[in-house]
Amino acid sequence: MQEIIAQAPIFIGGAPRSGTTLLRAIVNTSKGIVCGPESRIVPALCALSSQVEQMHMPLLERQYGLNVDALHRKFAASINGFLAPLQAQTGRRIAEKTPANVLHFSQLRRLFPDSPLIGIVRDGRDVVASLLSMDWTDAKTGQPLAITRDVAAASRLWVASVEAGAAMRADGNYFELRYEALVSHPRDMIAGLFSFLGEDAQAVEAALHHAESFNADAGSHESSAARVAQPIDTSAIERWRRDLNAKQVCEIEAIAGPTLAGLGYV
Amino acid sequence: MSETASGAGFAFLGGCPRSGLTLMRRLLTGHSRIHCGADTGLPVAIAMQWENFTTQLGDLHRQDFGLEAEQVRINMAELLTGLIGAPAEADPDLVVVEKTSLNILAFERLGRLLPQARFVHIVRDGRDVAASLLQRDWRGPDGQRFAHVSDPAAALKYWSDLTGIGLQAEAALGPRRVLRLRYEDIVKKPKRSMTALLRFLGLEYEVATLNYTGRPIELVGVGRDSLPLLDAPLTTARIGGGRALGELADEVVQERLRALGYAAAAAPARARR
Repeated sequence: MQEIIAQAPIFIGGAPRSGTTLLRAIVNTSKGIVCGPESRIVPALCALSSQVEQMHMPLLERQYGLNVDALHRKFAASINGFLAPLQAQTGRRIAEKTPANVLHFSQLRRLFPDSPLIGIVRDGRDVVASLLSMDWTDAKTGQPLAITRDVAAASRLWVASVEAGAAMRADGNYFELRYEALVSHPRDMIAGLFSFLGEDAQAVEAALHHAESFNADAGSHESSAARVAQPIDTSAIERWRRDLNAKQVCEIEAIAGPTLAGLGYV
Repeated sequence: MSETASGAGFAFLGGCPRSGLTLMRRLLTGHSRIHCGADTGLPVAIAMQWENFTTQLGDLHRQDFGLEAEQVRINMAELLTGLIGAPAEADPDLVVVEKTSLNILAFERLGRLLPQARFVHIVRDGRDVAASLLQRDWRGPDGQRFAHVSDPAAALKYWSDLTGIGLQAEAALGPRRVLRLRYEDIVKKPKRSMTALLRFLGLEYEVATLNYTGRPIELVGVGRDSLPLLDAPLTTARIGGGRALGELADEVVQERLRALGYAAAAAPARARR
């Protein structure tokens, strides 16, 4: 029998290299919330649940007696089953941070009607510049991931991530923040985030010193761990001016131009 | 271990497409203690996802989330049985049988995911399977017919590859977990075949399994291809139709045919009678 999670889990997402690990470190300073490194469970199970819902739902309902609400409950129970041991160990509310969560926020809302969803957005040009510096490989093939080599692939992922988050803005339990605002005005931004999560002013103070408690050794998929273990600074804003050439910038803007403009980055 | 995590009361049919799996579903649905719905594709998808979690993320999950491998297995096992197991929740005496031909790809994984589930590997003469495949109009996303329904050698290889995976699963899980049934035996000796299958599932033979005419079942996807055949009485007429394809079988296919007892060219049904 799967274990029960007392409070609806919090889900954090955003395009990779947008500050999700920093966000995890900040949230983790709360005494009431624990946020482990990327488990990568949620996107996989959300994708599977969406696929089943879109392709097999009428069949499952007619022939196996499973309606869509029951389908959502089954997948939610499965995700909870993965998160429950950490909650049992710590006694704290679970926050799950995997960047690709953002691509599945709409499905997560169906699975977890009461869960806070948090998205973080960063200038797409900085995201692409950062992605191109990563050495991530496909776990099955060992080949470099396209988003770390191909400007167009990285740009498309950023657009998809930002648009998936934007689609949730009418949701009262969705909170979106900008990376640039978070590192430029951390106190105000963290206060807003923690107010959304029901955390108090003391928690905000602790979060401003996240580097003192962040465990950079946890997890094996967080390329930013070493950097997040340092105090917050603004040095990564507009890194694209240093790291990208004119051709690359043009290629990004050809794909992501309207989205960048809509967010006020250009 | 909970029953939903053990797979007790669940069975999975699998085999190369065009081997008689939909016919078997037709027969099983007549049994009072069996629920056998149409293909869902879920067992393979969930077994593969479980393996990905285990092989790629197992260490991370154990170290940083306190997730032991057994807990991961239970979560995924309960997800699968929860999605297809509602009929058994309403009637605990029911055996839920999931029939997706490509379950054969995941029999071994499913056997580890659900340690008490049973598996039925349906095999048919590869030459007849290939002949049937070549009559399909199955196409990929690019609009082109798949090689295994357009090229005789590819059809034979497809049969050999899938059947080989099934034989590996049989060896890994053992005869208490996997029953192999031959299509030819099902249509020639249906009562004997059904009795053996039902005994394997812990059930008694019921004559209703063979009296299926007038009892429609819903077919979906490529299962609809079998519709014209399924309301007709059982027949041996489709044995041996692919005999001529034997000339195209390479050594691997020939060896597989021999291993499954199809060494001699299948005689036409008329000659057998």
